[in-house]
Amino acid sequence: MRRLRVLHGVLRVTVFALCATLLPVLAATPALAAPEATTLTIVAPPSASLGEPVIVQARLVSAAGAPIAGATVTFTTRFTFLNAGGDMVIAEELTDRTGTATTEFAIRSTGEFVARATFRGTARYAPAQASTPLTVGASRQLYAQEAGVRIPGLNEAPRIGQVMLGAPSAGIIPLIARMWPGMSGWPIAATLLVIWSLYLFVVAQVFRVAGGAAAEAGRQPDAGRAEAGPW
Amino acid sequence: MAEAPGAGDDDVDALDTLRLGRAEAAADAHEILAVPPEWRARLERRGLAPLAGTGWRYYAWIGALLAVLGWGIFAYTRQLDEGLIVTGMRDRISWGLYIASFVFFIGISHAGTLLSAILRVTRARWQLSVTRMAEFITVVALMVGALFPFIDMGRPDRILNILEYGRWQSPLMWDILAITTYLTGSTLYLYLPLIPDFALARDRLGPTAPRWKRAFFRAAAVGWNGSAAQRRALERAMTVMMLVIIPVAVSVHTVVSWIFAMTLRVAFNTSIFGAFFVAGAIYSGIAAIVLLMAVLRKLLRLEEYITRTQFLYLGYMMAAFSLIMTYFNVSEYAVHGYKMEAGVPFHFEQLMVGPFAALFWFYIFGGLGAPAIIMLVRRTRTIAGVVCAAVFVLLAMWIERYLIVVAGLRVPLEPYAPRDYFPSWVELSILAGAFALFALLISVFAKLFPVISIWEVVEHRGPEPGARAENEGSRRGRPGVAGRPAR
Amino acid sequence: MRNAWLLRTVRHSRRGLLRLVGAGLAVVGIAPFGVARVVGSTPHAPTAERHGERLRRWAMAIDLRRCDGCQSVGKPPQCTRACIEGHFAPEPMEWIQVYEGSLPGGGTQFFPMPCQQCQNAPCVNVCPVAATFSTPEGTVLIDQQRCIGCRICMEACPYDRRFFNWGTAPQPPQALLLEYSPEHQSPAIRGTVMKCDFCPDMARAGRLPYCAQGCPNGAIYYGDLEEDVATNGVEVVKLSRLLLTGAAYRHKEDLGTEPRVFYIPGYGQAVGRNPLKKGRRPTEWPWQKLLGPGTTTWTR
Repeated sequence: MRRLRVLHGVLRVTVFALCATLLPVLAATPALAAPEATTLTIVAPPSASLGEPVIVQARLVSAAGAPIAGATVTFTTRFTFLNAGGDMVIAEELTDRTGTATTEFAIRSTGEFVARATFRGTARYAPAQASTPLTVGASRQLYAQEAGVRIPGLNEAPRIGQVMLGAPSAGIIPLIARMWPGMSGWPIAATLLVIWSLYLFVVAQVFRVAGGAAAEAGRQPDAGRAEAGPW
Repeated sequence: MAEAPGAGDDDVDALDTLRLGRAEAAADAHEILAVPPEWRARLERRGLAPLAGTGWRYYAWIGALLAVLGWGIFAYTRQLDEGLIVTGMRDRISWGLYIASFVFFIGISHAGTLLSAILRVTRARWQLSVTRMAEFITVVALMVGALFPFIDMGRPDRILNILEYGRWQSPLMWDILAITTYLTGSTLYLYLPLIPDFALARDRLGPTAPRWKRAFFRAAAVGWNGSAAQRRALERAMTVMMLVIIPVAVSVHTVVSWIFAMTLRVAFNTSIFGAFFVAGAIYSGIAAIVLLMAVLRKLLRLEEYITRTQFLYLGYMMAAFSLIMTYFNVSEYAVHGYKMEAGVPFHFEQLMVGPFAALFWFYIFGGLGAPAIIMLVRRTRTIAGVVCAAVFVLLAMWIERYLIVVAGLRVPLEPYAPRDYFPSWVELSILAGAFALFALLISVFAKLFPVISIWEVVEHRGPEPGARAENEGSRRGRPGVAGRPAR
Repeated sequence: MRNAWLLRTVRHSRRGLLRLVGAGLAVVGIAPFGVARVVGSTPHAPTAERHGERLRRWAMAIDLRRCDGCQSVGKPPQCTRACIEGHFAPEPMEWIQVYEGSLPGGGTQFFPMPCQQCQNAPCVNVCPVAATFSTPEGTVLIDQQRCIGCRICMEACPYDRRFFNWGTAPQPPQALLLEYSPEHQSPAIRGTVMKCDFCPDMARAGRLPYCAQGCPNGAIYYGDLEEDVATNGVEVVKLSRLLLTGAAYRHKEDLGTEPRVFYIPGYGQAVGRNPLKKGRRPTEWPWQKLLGPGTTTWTR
């Protein structure tokens, strides 16, 4: 009886001691804690030119101000195309040691946009969002193309390949290859000209034959010919 | 002999270096005088006989041809009425019998180029008795062949679009330009050697012939009387034509091959097509001449002038070209077969063991093998043997064009089941009509123009040694006179 | 009388000859100007749908991860159906056609193929009358009022995307009321060629092509390379990013045709398709059945 009461007391103490040591530890682990608030700030130039590269940065820090590394930040903007609108994902980047995710891209549309950075959140960190306005101007054609068969005009310089964002053209061989379909008319025309001129020459000889007959009609018949007949 | 005033002596001298020197010309003049008159009279009689009179058999023949042609035209009206749906062509095999026949007829047209031009350039003389027939074939085959692309068009009412909106870059435009140029050149080249023969007809037949014939021969002969100036002008013209027509003919069938070779199809996408088609064209052209030669020789009793020599030499040329064609075929199949790129196994399988096997192997053995064998084996080296070889060649070459077009298009481009093509009654009727038109035009030509170039045979050949007045068909004649070598 | 006029010519033979040759030269010299035309601009009204002053450069991206040949829907491919209904495409034309190809590793994939709108289009290169032409937007169109029906373009196309009106195709009454234009190929004209045209009339109206609208899985993205944006009707994506992350490729790239249709490889896995499950429903032409019996049709 007395041994049972001592055992019971020892068990109680042990459990108490365990709880006393473990609970603070458990309380300290993040798994049981609510996700920590985070702050996302986005930095982008307020205006940009069409086609020029633009750097957008987003910095993710925790509520305590500590930078969060290795987090995925999604850069989007709202865009409407034909009859569909929605958030267009521009890039997805990971934050570095300083908690900064950087993306660089060439803007392809003019107008006023809202560049948005989104952090979807993890189990530990709460989601966050940031946005900043961005105005893009200086409209120009970026994507030049050489589709179809184009015969270079007299004043038009031949273009080859696709010129994208100021990339240099491809070189002399593709230039000739692309120009050839348009210029194939001239060798063909020249060849035909030569051949049909020779035909005209031949026809002229026939006229000469006829002319020779007419000229002879006014002359004495040739007495030296052995045979009467066309040859 | 009188000289035409103001004749350009410099250019005459320059061009004369291309033909006979003056000494040889004198020798030829002697030869003219040495030609036995009764032989010559017989030649003129035989040569001009069709122009002089027409029997009932000729009218019956023309009537039969007109009937077949009429049936072909009727079939075409059905096609105009309902559209190309009356043919067997569909999206996946969108070219068929029409384009195959187009290539075939343009190919035959190279007969004249070879005989009239190439052999003339090399100063061969043995073929002079058949050059006229060769030129007939050229002109008529071009005329008939050029019809087929128009028959094949889905909108023939828009033909003028080709003139108004034509593009230099299109292979079909190259076809049109080349065929027009070749047809004009061949017509000129047919007409030039006809001038002295028209003059002969004018003189011999004139007094007894009806008025319209007299007027026709007189106009066509443009006052030819054999004077030196006229002969010079004619020689000049013929020299220019015979040199020009060769590259034109080569370019014609090359651009015809390029309507296939300029596409990305597995069976077409090969650079060999230009040379392959030109060789095939000359090959089928020789066979066409042999056939026409045999027919006209029998009908018009020209055995004295078209002898075993002509058949043998043309037979040897056919054999040579069959070896060239074999080389091209081996080249094509070996090169593609070694690599077996995508699509090639299907193509080989359909040709060699599949639906086209019978046609393909007939082409290989009957069209390429048989002519060579016939000429190699002494027993078959006769006129009948050569004619038989020519028939094989013509059939095989038409089949080969058909295989190129239809089997080439049958190779699937995407994962779908390949389609089969069978020509419909409309296509077959139009093809029959085209052959009837071919025969009709040749028959009409044979009535209007002497089928044998009388003046050239007299001038350059003289009597064929060993050839007798009423000569044999396939009998060998006197032993030891296989014909002296051509000069 | 006998050859007097010839005599006159011969007397002035040298001058006459020169005149003759000169006339010939003039004719043949002028011909290239008359016959050669600048193609690349359209022979008809411009089909540009501009964005400010910038021209669109239409392209398509087909996400094969999402295409299962409409097996999950249990119907014939809906992209084809939408195109047939929208254009009254006569039987058996499938301007966008869903092929089922075997994958080298096993199984099959469904492969919707519209006209590839090649930038080095073989069909444009061989057309003798420029009835097939490229627009500045990169779309290849056909002017069926100029087409002569020679069908060399059909030999040249390596993608099996051109269709010929062998007979008089049936047309519903609505189609007959339309004025023909290369941008909207109705009514169909017998003896001419037709194909997918990327629906320029829909783009003008600010809408997606029929096939993109019809796809239940959103596999077909229609976009603009100039603005680098595309949409499948549900989401708007940056086109270059879609192609980059999807490892996009073009069909028969080695032929050098430079198509404007990109494919993201897959076999329908994004909509849960088992690649070993073969077969799709055959295409139907429902509007044609409504016209009653006796309508002309043919097989491909």
